[in-house]
Amino acid sequence: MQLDKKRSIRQALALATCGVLAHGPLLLPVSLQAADLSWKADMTTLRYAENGRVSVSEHIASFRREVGEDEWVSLKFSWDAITGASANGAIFNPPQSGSSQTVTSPSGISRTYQTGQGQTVDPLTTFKDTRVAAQVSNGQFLTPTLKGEVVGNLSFENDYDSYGIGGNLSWDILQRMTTLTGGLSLDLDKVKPFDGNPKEFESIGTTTPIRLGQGEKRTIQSIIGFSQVINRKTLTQLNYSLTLNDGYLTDPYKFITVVDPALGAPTDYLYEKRPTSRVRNAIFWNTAHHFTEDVVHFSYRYYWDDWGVRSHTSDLRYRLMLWRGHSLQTSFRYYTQMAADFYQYSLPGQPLPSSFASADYRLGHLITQSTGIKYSIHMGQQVEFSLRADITEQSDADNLFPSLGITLFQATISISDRVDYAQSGRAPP
Amino acid sequence: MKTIFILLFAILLTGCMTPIRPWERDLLAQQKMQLIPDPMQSEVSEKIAYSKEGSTGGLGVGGGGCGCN
Repeated sequence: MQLDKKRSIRQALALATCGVLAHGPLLLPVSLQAADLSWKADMTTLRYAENGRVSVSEHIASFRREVGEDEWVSLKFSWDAITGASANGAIFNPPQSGSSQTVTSPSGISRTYQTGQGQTVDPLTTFKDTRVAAQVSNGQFLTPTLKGEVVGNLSFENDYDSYGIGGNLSWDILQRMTTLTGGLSLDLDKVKPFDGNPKEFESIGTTTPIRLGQGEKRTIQSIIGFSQVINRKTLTQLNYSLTLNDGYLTDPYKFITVVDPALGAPTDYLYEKRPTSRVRNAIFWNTAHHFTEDVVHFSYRYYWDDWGVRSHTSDLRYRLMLWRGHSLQTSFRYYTQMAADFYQYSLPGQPLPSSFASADYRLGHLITQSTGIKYSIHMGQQVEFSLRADITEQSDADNLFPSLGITLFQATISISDRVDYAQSGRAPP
Repeated sequence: MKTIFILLFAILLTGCMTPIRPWERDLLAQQKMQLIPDPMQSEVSEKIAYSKEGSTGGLGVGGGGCGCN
């Protein structure tokens, strides 16, 4: 009887062992099974339109998937079609004493313009371009509290290429109440207008223009910061970033107008000239607060650089939860900027500036105000769809350049294999 | 300006912090409570700002350049 009982136990153990070996995957850690490797896909399409100027259609698709225990990869592709006209720096509303010439760039047409007394240049340059970009990243938890990620970027336009690599680290400390972050990236950009980069301060009307070939620009970006859980409903973040630009930083499509001081009329148009290095700093503060249902985000950034540009950026977003996964987010952004030291609306004539000069309004005294609204809905428990509309007005504090109105429409769909019960408004089972 | 900014931030941190247990992180874990809750929206907004203004930085590194006009 005793022997029979022992035999039956042995047989049961043998059967169980065979069963486990026959179903090998049962031995793998749960996180390594394919069905449990989570994934997320985001797709967005947008239409950006400036009043009477640039229009952009852009489509972005990104996919992220876990590839093992605490490791993931992500891929992102972007495609932009850009067309329209952009301010080239020539003065607006010159005296109507002569003929106006339209400028076309960047790709394909090389033109020579007539300049001199009575000749004016259209302050808007028409252009058409296409941009494709890809990004790949790989991240993993190096320890239970230390996360690292490496990122690679490629971007191609007809007249501009960009190649970049970078990495980020984040480290949770103090019972995960605090997260320290750091990042570093290196970008190499090539500026390559169809007919080469122009010689700085050369007249756009010269009959034998000097072309410099393509320009190279290097960018090193670094960031350090931390985020802090304040309480159960509030999270805050403080970052400092330092960006170093070096190389060809001039915009080959921007002019600056030479104006006769006596007549107030343009006499010539010169290609602009900027320094070959730039040191850019930013302090960024971001806070999120949960009102049990609704959420508010507020951020502020102070920016300064060695070109003399200073700016303040405030951004407020309030997400109002409506019913069962529907939500409405309103946003408001306000930006003010002090001009670069070498920014000039026009030049007074001879002699030419000995150092740098640019009439690019983006380096001037800018004010930008944006108001937006976004409606989101959960379709099922794993799909979120949102529609966003933004209206932006960009104005020149000196009232030299006309204000620019911008509208943006964006539709986004996110699909994930994970259910976000908080977003879908349904209680977990 | 920068000193005032950092001082205000320090006061906020030291005056309001409450230790949070793992089981009290339900709200903080939600997607809408992330510091960047909607990456697609943020990416588009950042690119537009980068193209139309003279400032950049503060949020992160990388992302690729463009000859945006």
